[in-house]
Amino acid sequence: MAWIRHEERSYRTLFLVLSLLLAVVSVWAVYDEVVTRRPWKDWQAQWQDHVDESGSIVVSQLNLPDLGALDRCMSCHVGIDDPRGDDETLPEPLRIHPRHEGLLGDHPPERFGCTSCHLGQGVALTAESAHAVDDPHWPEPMRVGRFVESGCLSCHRGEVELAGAPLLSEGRRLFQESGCGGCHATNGEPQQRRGPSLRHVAAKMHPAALAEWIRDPQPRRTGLVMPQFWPDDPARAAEESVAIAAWLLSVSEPYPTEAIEVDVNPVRVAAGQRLFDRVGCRGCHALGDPALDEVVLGASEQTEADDAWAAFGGGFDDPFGSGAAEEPEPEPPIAHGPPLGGAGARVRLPFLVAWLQDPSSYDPEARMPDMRLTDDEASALAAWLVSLGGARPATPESLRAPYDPDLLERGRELVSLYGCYGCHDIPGFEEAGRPGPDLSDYGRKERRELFFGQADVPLEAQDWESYSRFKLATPRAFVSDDIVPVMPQFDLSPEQIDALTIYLRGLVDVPPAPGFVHEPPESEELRLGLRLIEERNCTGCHTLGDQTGDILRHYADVNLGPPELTAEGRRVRPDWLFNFLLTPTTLRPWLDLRMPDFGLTEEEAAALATTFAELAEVPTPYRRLAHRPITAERAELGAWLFGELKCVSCHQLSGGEAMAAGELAPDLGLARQRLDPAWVRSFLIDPSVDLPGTRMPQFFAGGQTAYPEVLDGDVDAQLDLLVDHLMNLGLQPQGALLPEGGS
Amino acid sequence: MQTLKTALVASLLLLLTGPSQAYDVVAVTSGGAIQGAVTYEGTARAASSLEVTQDQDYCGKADVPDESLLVSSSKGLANVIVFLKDPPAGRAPEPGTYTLDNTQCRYVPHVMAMAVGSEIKVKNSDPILHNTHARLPKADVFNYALPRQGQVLDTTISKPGLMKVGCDAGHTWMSAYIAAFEHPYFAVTDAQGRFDITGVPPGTYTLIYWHEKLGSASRQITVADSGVQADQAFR
Repeated sequence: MAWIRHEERSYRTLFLVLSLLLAVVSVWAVYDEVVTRRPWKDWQAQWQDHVDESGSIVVSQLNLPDLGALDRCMSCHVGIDDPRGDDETLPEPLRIHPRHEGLLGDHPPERFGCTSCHLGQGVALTAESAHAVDDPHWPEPMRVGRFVESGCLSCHRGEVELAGAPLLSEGRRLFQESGCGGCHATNGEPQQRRGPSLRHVAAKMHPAALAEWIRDPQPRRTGLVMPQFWPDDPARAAEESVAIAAWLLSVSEPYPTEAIEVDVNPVRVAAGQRLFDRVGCRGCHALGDPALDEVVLGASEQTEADDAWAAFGGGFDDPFGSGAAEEPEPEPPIAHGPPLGGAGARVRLPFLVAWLQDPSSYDPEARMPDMRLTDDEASALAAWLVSLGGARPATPESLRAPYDPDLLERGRELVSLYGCYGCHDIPGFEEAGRPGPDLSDYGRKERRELFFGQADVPLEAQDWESYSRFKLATPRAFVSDDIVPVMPQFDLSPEQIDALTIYLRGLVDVPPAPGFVHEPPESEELRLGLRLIEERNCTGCHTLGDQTGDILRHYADVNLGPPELTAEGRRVRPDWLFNFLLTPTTLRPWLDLRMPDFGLTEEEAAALATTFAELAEVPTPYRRLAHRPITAERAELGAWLFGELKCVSCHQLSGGEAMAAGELAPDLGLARQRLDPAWVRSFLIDPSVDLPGTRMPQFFAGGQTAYPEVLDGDVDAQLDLLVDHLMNLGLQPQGALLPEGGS
Repeated sequence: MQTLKTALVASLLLLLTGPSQAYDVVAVTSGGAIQGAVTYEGTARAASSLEVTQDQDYCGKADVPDESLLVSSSKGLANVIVFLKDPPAGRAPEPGTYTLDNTQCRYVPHVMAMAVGSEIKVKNSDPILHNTHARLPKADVFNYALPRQGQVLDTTISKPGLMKVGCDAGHTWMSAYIAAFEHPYFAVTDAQGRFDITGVPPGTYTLIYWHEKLGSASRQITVADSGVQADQAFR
């Protein structure tokens, strides 16, 4: 029996050990549950200590079946939606949500939860697993730091500008402006080819210049988008760019410029330069030569005043705070159109003439508008532009027909490989689609899906952000023996890379839950209008809101530059604006500047008219402006007062004689068709409100009139009389049209 | 600590030298005067008359004098604004009432200096439309149309600084300057170039002489109870 006893003893020992172990585990489990795994209890206890004693300690959770989410974040983030959390002495996570009123006001947690914007693991109850920032097993780690903005894109898909997410908005703008969408699809956005058409490139460019531009677009660019394809391989660049150029030239379709002949002589070239300075080219284009770019028209008079002011400051700190001693504001770069310096070495003269006459004949998608130049003007401007940039390069044998068939074959392969057709219209590649990978779900790529190749990135630093930043800065870095990336190199600053990564992080190919798609507050029409204002670069010339027209830096006197448009929607009738945008006419004959014809569709012109009305805070854009006829008696009195105020000292009246160019103001004969009577009245009271710096003076300053004998000296009645008179110019009393020749 | 000290010193310096120090009004019992004459040693002279390019019927009837550089037979330079730069304290400024007359297609007077708070009566003595547009370097001050002969519009000057006055109604030759100060220590030289600034508390100041065509000159002066002579020659 000894062995039995022995066995019993062993079992007893084992039982004892196991019991003890169980006890330890039980105690540990309870401890773990109560202390380690329930940090939320501590936070809630702290909340009770500091803020509210009445609450009970519970897991608070938001059950959101619409979103398929169960978020317990508020178990720790107790004060996130509680005004009492707005207290900087409280420790995180107890504090209120940043920008609480706006962000949670628009996105109440009961409806949106937390993880729909921030991601992370909503059901978890420790910070580490809920945030899941470094958790390789949770596919949607919480967006931290700047990347919080990325989450907005999940629901705010169609919006151009998100006020609360400036970096995201900037990233999206950069993505579009840099032409990324030419090669990469993102959630159904239409492909926009950002580069110019190459369909007729043989008519446009000198062959050697084409090859050179492909080889290295960088030296000539200022704010230009075309990337570099061989940033580190000059030998390959030289060889491949010639092949591509040869093939492009060989497939180029005819563009009829044979009939265009320009006699380039000094007079014509000088006339061209004058046109360039004056018709408005500088709203979009720079020349890249400071001597030519720093032209200021009408400067002499202004300099005299500036000198007087500067002297008054005595060369010390400006003693009066009047601004004379302030540094001039830094000049923004002109980035809208390509720089035109050196055009003569690149572009053929006959093409340039035809292009200036009608850009859409060369490229229906061209952003360049029709500047309404006469044939003579187009020739002069083209003659001057090709005089810039010296001699045109000689054409090497390889770029002359007949081309080497092997070279052509190689060129075609390269165009296909590099995806030139993503940005350019190229014959034979019309249906080729987008050459780059679809980025619609790029924001959710996991570490194992990101290929770092042989790039020198330490393993522990290999994550989504480092991949994306590296890829944007040096797109060809992630190379291996089998995989050779072809994405070209863009010239991006670290800030631009920041913004782009934030946008890319937000690209998620999961449609928002039904009912959560955010409809932008702007109507579709308004969005179209805003997009057109940006694409067509209205602010290249016109001041609009807080954006000063770029071209105004070339004018000493704002009155000689393009008119400010901030109040345009209030100033003019919408139907007039619609027609003017479709068919611009000359309103200010004393200006050399001219409003281009943008070739807008009726839909686009209407959208712009609406948008200008919205920007001027007109409540109903298509308002009916009732015509108020004038009685014979009032007509006579109105005409007398109009004469007394000597409006025609400066203003033209249709049919009147032309006056000295420096002194003209818009034709009042157009007032009835063009202007909103209510605006005319408010403008007469104080012209400088809507048009700062205007020459138009106040005629009723301080509510006084110089004519107390008219209408009992009632200023309001006199204003009404003047408006009625203006709105009835060219009409007989009671609104009938005057017979021919009357005015 | 070092950074803190630097920041402290920097902000103190800013406080001391900043352009917008307040001016303290104090009773000046032992003030001195700054007197002098401004001369012009150069040979340039204003043209005898300005070119009239519009409203010939009226403005062209008589010569419009060029007042941009008026020098007396004894080289005295008129229309120089002489002023103390940012005096820290002194007697109260005395806003007054001034008239700026559009008469015979010119502004009379051509140069004015006044205290902030002064009233200007902008008048048109001519039977044609004048407009009187006054601006600081970056802002319009007023822009009045005066279509009627004898018409007067009032305006109160609320900001210090040098205003340039012009006419946008085509009379591009018309020009005037108005300076406004937050203290009373300024003067405009008379036809002989003489000026007189009185009641200056004893102390050391920067005195500035400004002329529309000749720019500006400055000098340090120390004012004692007896006053100080401060002549200046422009070349």
